[in-house]
Amino acid sequence: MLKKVTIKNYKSVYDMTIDLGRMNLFIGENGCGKTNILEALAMASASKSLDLDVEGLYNRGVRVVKPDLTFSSFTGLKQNKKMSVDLEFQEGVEKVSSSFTIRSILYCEDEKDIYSKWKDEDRTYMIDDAEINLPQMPDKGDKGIGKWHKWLVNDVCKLTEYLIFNLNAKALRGIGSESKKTPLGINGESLDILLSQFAKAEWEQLTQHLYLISWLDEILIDEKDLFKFKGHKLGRSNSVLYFKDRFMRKKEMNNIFSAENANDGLLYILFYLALFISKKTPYLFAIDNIESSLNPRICRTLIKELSDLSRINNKQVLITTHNPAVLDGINLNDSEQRLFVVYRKEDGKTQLKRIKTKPDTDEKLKLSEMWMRGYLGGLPKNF
Amino acid sequence: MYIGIIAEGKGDLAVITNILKGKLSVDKSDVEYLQPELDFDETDLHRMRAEQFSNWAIVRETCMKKKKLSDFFSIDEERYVIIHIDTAEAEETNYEVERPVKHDNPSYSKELRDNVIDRVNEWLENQFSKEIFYAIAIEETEAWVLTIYTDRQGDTCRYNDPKKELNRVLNKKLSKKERKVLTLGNELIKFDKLTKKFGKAKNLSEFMMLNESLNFFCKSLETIQ
Repeated sequence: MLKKVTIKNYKSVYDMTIDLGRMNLFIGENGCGKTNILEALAMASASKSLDLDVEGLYNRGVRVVKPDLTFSSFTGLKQNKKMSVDLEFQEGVEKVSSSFTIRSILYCEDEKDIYSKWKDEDRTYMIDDAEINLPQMPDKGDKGIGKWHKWLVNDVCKLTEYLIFNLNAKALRGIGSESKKTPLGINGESLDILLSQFAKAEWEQLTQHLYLISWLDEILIDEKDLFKFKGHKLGRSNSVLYFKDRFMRKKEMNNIFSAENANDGLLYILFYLALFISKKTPYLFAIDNIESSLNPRICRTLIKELSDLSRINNKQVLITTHNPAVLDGINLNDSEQRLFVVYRKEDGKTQLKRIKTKPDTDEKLKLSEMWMRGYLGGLPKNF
Repeated sequence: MYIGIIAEGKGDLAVITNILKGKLSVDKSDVEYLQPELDFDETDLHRMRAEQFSNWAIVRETCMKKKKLSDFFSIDEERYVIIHIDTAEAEETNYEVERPVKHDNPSYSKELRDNVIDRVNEWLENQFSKEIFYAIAIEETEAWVLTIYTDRQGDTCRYNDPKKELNRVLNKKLSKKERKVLTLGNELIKFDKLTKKFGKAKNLSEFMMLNESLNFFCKSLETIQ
């Protein structure tokens, strides 16, 4: 699992270290640098996949700008023309654990050219799913090196799959498909295809969570999209997902409607559940603004469920949110679930701190209320 | 370190924040405003009169309830709270602090500050004593702001109506362009701009000498350092 991230000189993040858990929530004002933290990891991910071009970055969810604007640029400070991301992974348990750092030191030949290809001074990268290029290959005679090497390959592989999901309803409905990433696109593309590939156990996990959508009776995947010809959708969408409403008349299938016509919340919930349940989706990923289109109580419960799913399915996730209700879904007594407040210092640099409640506190105030009342920080202060 | 401020008004929050910057070198991001409430919804605001969300009585109520303090201190971090209160209304019912003789009394500010602190501690039932610092402004925070702008010698505590005096001085000293700040509706921004100079340690140590109650407050903060 990724335990520690150190980011230097990336956009507003000048120098920051984060000790991560499994489920990591980031809150803070608009423009405080939350997404920059997620993006720095995407830069490292693209590098270790030898995918450091505009497409490679864009497809991971990076808001690409010219390198001059990618490196931290603060008044009164000389700009450094390199950024770095150090990722410390830890594998195993107790005595047989091992930790290692994967480093990316990124620079560009032409800092003014948005299309300029990025380069990494560190030459660690994935060759294929099982093979890694290391600047210094370990001596295979060393005891335990085999396990260490396996862990390293596994972690770099996880890193290369890292994406920032930032959903929009159009992509979820199957209208337009900007992201070609598989199995799920970063905007919500291809949910129907992934669900159609779900194994029985995955369906069972999904079904257990469908109580979140009170009116939903059943999910249908109409592989031949025949419902389209019966007037269930206009056909602008290429999604073959259909839903049965438990309250609508069953006669003549008047209770079935398509993803094209479904409400946004349903599609967002399904997407997140599929993302956390599927064995084909990345093990390490980020979600920007998870609260979009979701009712506050659903936010709270969904986060709790996703947190459980992340543990069961061994996913690690970084999530940003602006909705206080999301905070009520995490349990800060569990060290795998962490809350970070991101803010900018007066000089503009992004900083972050982990919020922990005192172990002996008997306060019953919800985290959402604590945030809104200013006890956690991460709110504008000038009005 | 994270510092919460409970104050009578929004302008007081801005003044105290700049003092904390100058005295403790804290960044504004290390300061949080606990009182007055900044998050009343518009429905409540429509029903409330202005004095219902910023005055000494709300500070008293917050201290007596203690909930805001215990919630703030429930986060595992080095945290302090500044409680601000003016002495101008010290005689009012439920505040009821004995005002020492002012005329020819060099200890006036000290005695009045001590009396107010005793009253605040009474409201708090002496809880949180290690984490709380008292910003007791004699008679109003405007007297502290006056230290930046006054040309007159002597302690700015002596003004019975520091608000009026501050207004007079600002209208006289500020240029036409600078006076625009006085028309700002947002007290936080207005007083932040007016007291920027408190944010520099060197300036602050000079201004402290012009108001004894400001001096006492700043000195009390030295235990944090």
